[in-house]
Amino acid sequence: MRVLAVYSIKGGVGKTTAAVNLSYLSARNGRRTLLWDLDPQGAATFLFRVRAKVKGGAGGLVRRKVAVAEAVKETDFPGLDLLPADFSNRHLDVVLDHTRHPVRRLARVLAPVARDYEVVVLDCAPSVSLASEAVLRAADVVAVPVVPSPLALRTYGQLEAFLARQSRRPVLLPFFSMVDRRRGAHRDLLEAEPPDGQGRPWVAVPASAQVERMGEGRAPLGSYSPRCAAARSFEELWAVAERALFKPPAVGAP
Amino acid sequence: MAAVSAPAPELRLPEGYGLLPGRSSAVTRHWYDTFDRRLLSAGLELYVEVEGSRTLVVAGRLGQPDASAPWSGAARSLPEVVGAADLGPDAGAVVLGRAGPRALVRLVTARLRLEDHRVVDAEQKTVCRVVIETATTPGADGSVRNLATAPLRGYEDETAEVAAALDAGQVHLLPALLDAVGTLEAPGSGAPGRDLRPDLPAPTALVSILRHLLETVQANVPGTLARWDQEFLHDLRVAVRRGRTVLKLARDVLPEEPRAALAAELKWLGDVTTPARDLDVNITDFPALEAEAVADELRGDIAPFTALLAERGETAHYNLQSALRSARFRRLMAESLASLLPSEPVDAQPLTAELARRRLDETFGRVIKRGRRIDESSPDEAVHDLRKRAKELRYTLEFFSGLLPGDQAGPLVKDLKGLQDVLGDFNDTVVQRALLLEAADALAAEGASARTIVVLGEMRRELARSGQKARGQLKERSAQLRRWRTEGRWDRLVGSLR
Repeated sequence: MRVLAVYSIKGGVGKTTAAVNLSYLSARNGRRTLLWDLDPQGAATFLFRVRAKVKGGAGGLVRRKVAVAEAVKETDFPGLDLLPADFSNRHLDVVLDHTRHPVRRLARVLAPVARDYEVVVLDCAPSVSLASEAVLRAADVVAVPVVPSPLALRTYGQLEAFLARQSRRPVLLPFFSMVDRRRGAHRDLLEAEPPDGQGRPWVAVPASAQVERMGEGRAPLGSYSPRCAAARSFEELWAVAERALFKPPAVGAP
Repeated sequence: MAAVSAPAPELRLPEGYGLLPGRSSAVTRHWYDTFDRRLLSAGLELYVEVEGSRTLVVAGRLGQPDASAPWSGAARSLPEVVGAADLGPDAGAVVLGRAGPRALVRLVTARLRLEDHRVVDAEQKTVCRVVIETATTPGADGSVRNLATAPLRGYEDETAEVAAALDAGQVHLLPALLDAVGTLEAPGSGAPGRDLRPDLPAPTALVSILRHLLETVQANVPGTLARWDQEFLHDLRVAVRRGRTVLKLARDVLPEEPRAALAAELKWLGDVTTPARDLDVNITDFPALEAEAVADELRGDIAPFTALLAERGETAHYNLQSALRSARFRRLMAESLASLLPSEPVDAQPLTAELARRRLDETFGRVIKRGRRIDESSPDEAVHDLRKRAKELRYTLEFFSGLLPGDQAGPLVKDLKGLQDVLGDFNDTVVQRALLLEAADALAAEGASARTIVVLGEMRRELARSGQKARGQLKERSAQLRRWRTEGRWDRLVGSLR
């Protein structure tokens, strides 16, 4: 089981859109996938038409009083299950704070279903908190949506700096989100050198009417508009994420 | 369960649920089971499903099989019998243990139209799938229809609610299809006297039992000819023996000439099946006996003997197949019953209960008398004769058990079975010892090694030991049966005949 977190300190940057579409693409490509909606707003849960209700709430799951397998809901898309959010997720920090080794907790909660899924996608609430530390600790790859603006890039830099201080560092996968090429500022940033200094151009997901319609259609883009520009961008992003998740271990690695 | 040719069932869903139609497809399903429906009796099913170029073998709980594997053979010519190599490990693990020594034969083939529907809740979220399965098979009037529900993970409660609402439309396809073509029970299976009434004229009852037994013989012919498994021949022979017993019971009841003619024909049929059956048993039994009786240093030296048995087995089955394909056998099956019903008026004939009482007393008396005579020094033939009389008593009890209240014959049948087991064990040792002696001569004449002859000798010695052991148990088993008379249980049993 490999864990892909979709995370950003900022809200409203297309995190849930990315989590929903990446998990859909993972399952569509034949990988058994679980999407865990950790955001108390439950937007991913809503988009898959699942009732925002978890037996025992987030606390029950995190304290392992409710087994993950019991809370999982099968979506309408083959190979894709959802661990829904409910409003109790807003207390996730408090619940984690009352557990031993809170930062490692999410990884432990997922351990019983490790054989059931090849990929787990975490859709995180926007914050800097104990919960986000636990997410970053559990993740193998962190996809970070960045709106093309100087302030958003500065925030991404803060995340990089934070992770650089950690003993276990996931692979960071930044991508531009909500890109509007009609805007000069967006174009300039897209045409500049990649901001993370890795030399690899970031995938750019455009802002589009099709993406906005996800809220009405309540389904991943690929299921109703697979050829639109945004859907193609998510396919490109998934290809990069999949390579990062399943890259062969480096020679000489234990 | 009756086949339905009713109009499409209405999908009446609980309030708050809706239905979205999905894709339709057509498949062909071939169900396999043992001839005596062991999988079905255990609530299991096994089928091979063909959809275009995709062929799957599927096994598991009836209506919800969950083990599947791609079919390895050619889908165009599915075999009449499937085995472990066809099934793959998952499906094999589900069914092979249940099948035991019996072959898995094709029972029924149906063409299915599958219409997939999604059941959605108020949020238009799928909670389960409903598949309308409409099956047609040659020989059935109309079609058989089932509504199968498949839950989505996490929606088990909702699925149960939907399934409960659809309950009237849910049938298991396999038993419904078998019922529709009249083979829910294996042809010729079941107790031959189960429908007897005490006030039925005895000739009518006896002919009805005979008809059932001849159906059993006929039903086991294809499996015997194809040698799907050894039980077909065994069951065929049991039906023949039972038929011969009925004809003995029919003395002075059915017209003598046709009765004696049919008895002679059944004796012929019994005799022509004996060598093949004996060799089937020997080919199975001797390797086990070798493992038990022969020293390690002689292992492998039995090979010439097993080769001899295999060769004789082939010859015996060839002869048997010739007999079962002969005009004589066809005549026996087609014509023998017609002349058996007497022309006398019905009121001159004994009633079934009266005949049952008389014949049960006679057969029981014969077993007691012969059992009393058996001691350590009795000749093997006397023991064999007791065995045949005990079988007759057991069959007679089984024929008329429907006239006894409850399961009154059950304890006696159990005691009789105990006696028969001992008699059977003893008889097997006698027959097999004779075979070993004869085979030793034949193999020696062909130049077999001395080691092979020693192996036969060791097995013969072991058979003598187990024969002595069986004979030692005979006295107690016979006494156990006699107590039915001395304790008055036999009189009470026969007295309770309705």
